Amino acid sequence: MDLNQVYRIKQPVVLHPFGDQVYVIPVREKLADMTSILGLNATAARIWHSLEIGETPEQIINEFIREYETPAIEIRHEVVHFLSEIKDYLENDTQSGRFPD
Amino acid sequence: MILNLAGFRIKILCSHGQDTIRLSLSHASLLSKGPEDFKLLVIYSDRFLFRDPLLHAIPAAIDLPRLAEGQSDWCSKVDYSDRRIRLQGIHPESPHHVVWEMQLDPSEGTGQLCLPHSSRNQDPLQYPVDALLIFYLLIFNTGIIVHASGAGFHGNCSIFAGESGTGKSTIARYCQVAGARILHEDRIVIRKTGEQFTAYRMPLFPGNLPVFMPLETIYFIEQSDSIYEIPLPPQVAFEKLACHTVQHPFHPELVERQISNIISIAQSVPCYRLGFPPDPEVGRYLSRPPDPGTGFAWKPIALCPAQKGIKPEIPDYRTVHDAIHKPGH
Repeated sequence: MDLNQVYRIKQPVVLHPFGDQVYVIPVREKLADMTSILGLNATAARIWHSLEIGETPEQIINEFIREYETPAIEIRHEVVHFLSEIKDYLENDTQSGRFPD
Repeated sequence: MILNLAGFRIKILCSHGQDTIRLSLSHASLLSKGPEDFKLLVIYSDRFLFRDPLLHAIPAAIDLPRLAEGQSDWCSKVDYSDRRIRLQGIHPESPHHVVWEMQLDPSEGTGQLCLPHSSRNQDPLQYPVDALLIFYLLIFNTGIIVHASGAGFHGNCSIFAGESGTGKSTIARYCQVAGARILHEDRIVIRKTGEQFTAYRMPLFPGNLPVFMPLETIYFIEQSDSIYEIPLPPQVAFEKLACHTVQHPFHPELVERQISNIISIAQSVPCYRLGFPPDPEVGRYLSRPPDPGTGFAWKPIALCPAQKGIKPEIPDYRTVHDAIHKPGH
């Protein structure tokens, strides 16, 4: 995937915090789909928010590298792994629709 | 007249100068008394209630009771603004597929239901009007409809949520054999009443008289070779309960309200995974009398070895069979 692309959340969702998680409730065909709820921990929720405000994966990775003592390669791997897990929710900002492999 | 729909006392009024309401047998058995929770004005008119077309068309596949049984060849339209819910649809069981329109103002406790003159001899609240009315009143009254069976021992109710085919009806009947009163075999209404949650029978079929009990436990059932219970932390309980909650909300505010209701229940009511084999012993297991101290039935925590969702730090693995027959161990 191109880490310098802007990816947007393509699907309508409702975000709801509970405990130490933020739950993502997808809205499909105008109805909430509570059988496909996604729970985000604090880091994942921050990545989600960063995507919503238009940051690229590279920008998000660099922010984490600056803030945490974790090796950069590990942070990069974790962020990319998370993005691949939520790829059904993402679309490339400059292309139509599909999340590139 | 006042109808008891899953604990909501609905006062049915007819607009000035019009006939009285005709009720079906199933709704006639829900006639009630006392102060009303909600007033629904039934208007017979050949003019539509809503001037503007409703924005959202809800697909027929929505999960309301009975739609899964092949009566889903209809589509309702909905809209939500100024804290008013507007709904439009047809009575799928009516021979003429009567079009109805309903506006609900849950914060004011009032609503209007508009039907054509030609439907005066039919029950205006026939499905899905009754189910939608219950559903939206629950959203605004800390409640949900759960795809679950329910049975009560000693005046308290346990509900058993699970996918179709996992044994909801079976476990309810095992409980009945052990002396429990069945609340419902497929749909349960959970609603906050005062400081506690109460389980109500969903009035779906003729003869479903109003029954309710304090909700003691929510079980998420699964088939197993032995009986076991695993306590669930509130977050896991929320995720599981959300999966089994009847869903219809189409507006972000309504989704938020329903999620908050599910969280409130998951935080307040003890939730467990319950494995059981096809054996009536599970009914006897669940029937143990309440602890005099807590008022709730004592249930030893019986855990099964590593399965999905179990945190490894949960101690004390033992089977329920051991707990029942070797109380000293």
